Amino acid sequence: MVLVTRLYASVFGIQVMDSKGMVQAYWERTAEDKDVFILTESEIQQLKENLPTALEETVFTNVDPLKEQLISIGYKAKVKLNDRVLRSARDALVENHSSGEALAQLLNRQRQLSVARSRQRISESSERVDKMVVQAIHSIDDMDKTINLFISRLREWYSNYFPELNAIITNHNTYARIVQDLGERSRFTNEAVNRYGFTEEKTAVIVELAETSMGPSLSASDIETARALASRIIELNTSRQETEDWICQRVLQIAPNVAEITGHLIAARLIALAGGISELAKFPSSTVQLLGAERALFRALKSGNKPPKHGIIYQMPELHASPWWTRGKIARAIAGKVSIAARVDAFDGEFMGDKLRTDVENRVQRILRTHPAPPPGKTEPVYPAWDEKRPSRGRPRGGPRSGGGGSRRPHGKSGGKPRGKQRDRRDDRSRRPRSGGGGGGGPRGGQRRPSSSKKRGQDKKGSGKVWK
Amino acid sequence: MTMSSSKNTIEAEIHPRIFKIRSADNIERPATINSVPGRKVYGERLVTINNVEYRLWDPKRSKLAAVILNGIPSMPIKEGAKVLYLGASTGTTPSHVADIVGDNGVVYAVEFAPRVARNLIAIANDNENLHPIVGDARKPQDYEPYVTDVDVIYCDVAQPNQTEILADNADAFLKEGGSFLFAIKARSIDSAKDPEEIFAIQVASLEKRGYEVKDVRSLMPYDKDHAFVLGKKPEK
Repeated sequence: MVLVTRLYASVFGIQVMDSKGMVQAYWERTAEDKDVFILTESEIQQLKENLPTALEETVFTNVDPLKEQLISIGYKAKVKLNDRVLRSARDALVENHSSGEALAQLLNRQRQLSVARSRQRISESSERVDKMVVQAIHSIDDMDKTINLFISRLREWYSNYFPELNAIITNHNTYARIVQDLGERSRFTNEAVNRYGFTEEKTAVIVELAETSMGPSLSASDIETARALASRIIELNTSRQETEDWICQRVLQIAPNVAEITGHLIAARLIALAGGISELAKFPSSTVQLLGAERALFRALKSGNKPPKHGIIYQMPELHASPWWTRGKIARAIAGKVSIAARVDAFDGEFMGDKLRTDVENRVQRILRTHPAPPPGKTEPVYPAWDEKRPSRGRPRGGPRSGGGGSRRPHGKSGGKPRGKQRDRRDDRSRRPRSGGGGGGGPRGGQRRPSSSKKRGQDKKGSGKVWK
Repeated sequence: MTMSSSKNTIEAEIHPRIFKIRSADNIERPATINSVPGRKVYGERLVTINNVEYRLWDPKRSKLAAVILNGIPSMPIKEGAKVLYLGASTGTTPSHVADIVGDNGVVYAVEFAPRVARNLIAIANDNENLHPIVGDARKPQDYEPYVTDVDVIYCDVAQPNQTEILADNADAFLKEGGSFLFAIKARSIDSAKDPEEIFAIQVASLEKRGYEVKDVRSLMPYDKDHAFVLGKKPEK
């Protein structure tokens, strides 16, 4: 018996050979065949007669689908492009189709099959719900930006007519609703204003302000356009809320375990930053820990300063509400559990989020218990004000740049937006932060604002903070 | 229209089927003959001279156009060539390559990301000589049966191990004596190191794998931190 241990797949068929390269069989594929690189039942039978699986011989082939199938029916199989026998099979095929009619035939067949396979791969990828969630998250960010832009315009605009209202109503949503519903100052009656849930005193003040306003008298038609803008803002907000609800509901299906640990929106954001749940599952947890802090990370790598400790997971209360000296440890702990959860989610595991969640909580408690005070000699890092500091562009402020080890804003939108080519993104993330970072231990430059730093950080975080 | 097109002139044929055109508003660009007259692939300008339609080639969008302007000494992509194009993306550069090789050539355009490959497939609908392959350039076995042996490999994949990817594909598919064109993006290999140092290491590792490097050229001012390598697989 001759053992067939080489299967060379081409677009015309599968050539079955022994280890010397002698062709023992040829299983042809025609233009109508769809699964060209999958063996039929009868071919499997033939193969098993010539090569009993019990022999445990390794079968070499040139394509992945065939290898997978061979393994699934009990063979040891490997893809090996530079195998001598497979290589000469390929060379012979290329040689036989190197010009004229034969070449045209080969190219036609290759094109037909690669177009079909490419189409199929594209449609498989857009069928994935997690890709929809990625889009929805980006859409929420867009809407937040738009809403902020519109509301500041509305406040400017309507303040021409009723300047006093701006300061007294801080809530954007309420402001837009009042402008939309009431418009003219004469309609600011006690009864009308009361509907927005103010205290009696505040209602009275607003009514009073409307009566005594220093704004000009304008006709209803003059403020109509501003009211239309207010309506747009309210619609946008409704739409944003609906999108967020949809995301939360979908995230529960895609990544119930991650969502249990981090909350729905952070889970969705992690998936968005990774590009999908299976992508998130493939990252090491140190990458998960820093997702959303890419810009800070690369800044640190370039300048030799300390790398950031946390990315988007900073938004979890366990992290940002804890004392600064514990945050790095907590971030690592959370990222580890998120990685486990993502892998369970991506590969169809059971729900174990509740257990992971308890683990995280216990771990956080232990870290807080064992580290009640800041390590001696360390001080809280300074988070410079949002708009004052752009270390990559601006001039150094108040000290040498190498000393600004604390100038990191590792959460929210600070993360670079590598939205361009996907390849770029993947490769960016394959870089690991070096533990501890180099240098950066020098005296800190810049002004300190310990009291305001935390708040500023949170205000800027990525999720919907527009509506209070 | 007649007025402006009368001012478009062909300045030179830099390489066979690759022209330098001075457009009516005095911009000099490389250009290729549009293989699908009337069609724009990425918003490029179409210019008709003597009843032939040309597509102006934007060096800021395409590294191949940039390196042509920067004076690459020879151009292996020519009429009738079979080209394996790794990192085809949305098909901007592959569409020009398809113009150059013409009906007797083939462009196997490999792209990993389904999102950008959508556009590639749309282009391939009109270009019979463009074979779109949604596949992983890191694993040549993913598309081995779909590709015959090629005269040229063009590689622009922005991966940390891009040199290895090029060499693996050249081992598998490049004819002896065939050439490769290789865009090295220093920032995908190491975001902190000096680019010159990175380029030298990449060239050395190509030579170690048995490939000849003939020309290394900067893409400034069109792309920062990029080098463009021209080389070949020696004949035995």
